[in-house]
Amino acid sequence: MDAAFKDEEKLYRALKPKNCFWKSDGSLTSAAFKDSKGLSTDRDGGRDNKVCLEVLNQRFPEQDIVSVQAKSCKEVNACIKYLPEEDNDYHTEIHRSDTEITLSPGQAKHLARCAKIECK
Amino acid sequence: MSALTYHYQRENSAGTLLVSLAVISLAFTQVAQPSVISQNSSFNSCAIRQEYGYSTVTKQTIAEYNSTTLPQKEGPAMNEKQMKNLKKLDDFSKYPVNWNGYGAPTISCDLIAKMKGLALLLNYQPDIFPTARRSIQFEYEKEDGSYLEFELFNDKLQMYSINSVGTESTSLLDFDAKAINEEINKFYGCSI
Repeated sequence: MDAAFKDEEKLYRALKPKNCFWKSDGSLTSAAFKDSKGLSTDRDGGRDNKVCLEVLNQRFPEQDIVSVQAKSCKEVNACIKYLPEEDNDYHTEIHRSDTEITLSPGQAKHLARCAKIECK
Repeated sequence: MSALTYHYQRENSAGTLLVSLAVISLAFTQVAQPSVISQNSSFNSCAIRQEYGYSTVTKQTIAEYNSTTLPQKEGPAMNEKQMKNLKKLDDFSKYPVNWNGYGAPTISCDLIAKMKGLALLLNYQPDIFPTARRSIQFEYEKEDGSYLEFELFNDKLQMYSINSVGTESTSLLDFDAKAINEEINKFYGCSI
């Protein structure tokens, strides 16, 4: 799979525990995108949206799932790293930069505002 | 000395907005310390209490006001959102390793206790969330897009804000309820 990401490629993230990351106004908190190990996602890798969600649902049954487009990451200079794993060819992490892992508050907030709810 | 403190508390229907005004009248040359008043802003028991529609007006001497202990967990001043937040924080303490399915570490009990103490002192109750980087985040957002966020770590408190025209700001704060409340008051455009 290509290590480059087209702007429209989607990156999916499951939100667990369910209902934990939604604000009282119904929007998504940026806390959902703060991860000291790097923000793990599954890239669409050319798959249909439905297939991506089915696969993620198997690993995260009944959890909320959101997606962000690669374009949203690029807008805040976040670094998208394609890091396939033994059991997951689509594993991709979003980092603050090429050398720093954790997203800045501004980057996380931007992704939260751009995120699309795929499954809730 | 006949100084009186009138303490007004008003909440909107969602219980998310708490406006506190302290009006000090008569012959005081020195007003009561704002820091003490701000930390007591959700205090609700009273010597004389009158109801005016949705508002509660309380009359006390400043000495009575400032000597009052802060509301306890089960106290009458707890509003619905404050209780929800404390419950939420209790829930965080039960999260096991890998609580988010992506390998998140547990959230330390010390951090949760610190956050619970702070939640009792905040003039406005925030939305509170765990992160997968050993921190707890609490935040406020307005309809005009302005946003205020605090991220509490074991060793630091980071503040991040966006104003209504999109200008961002990040800074480190001392873990001090008064300083935090001042930032929150500024965000909501009021002073205490």
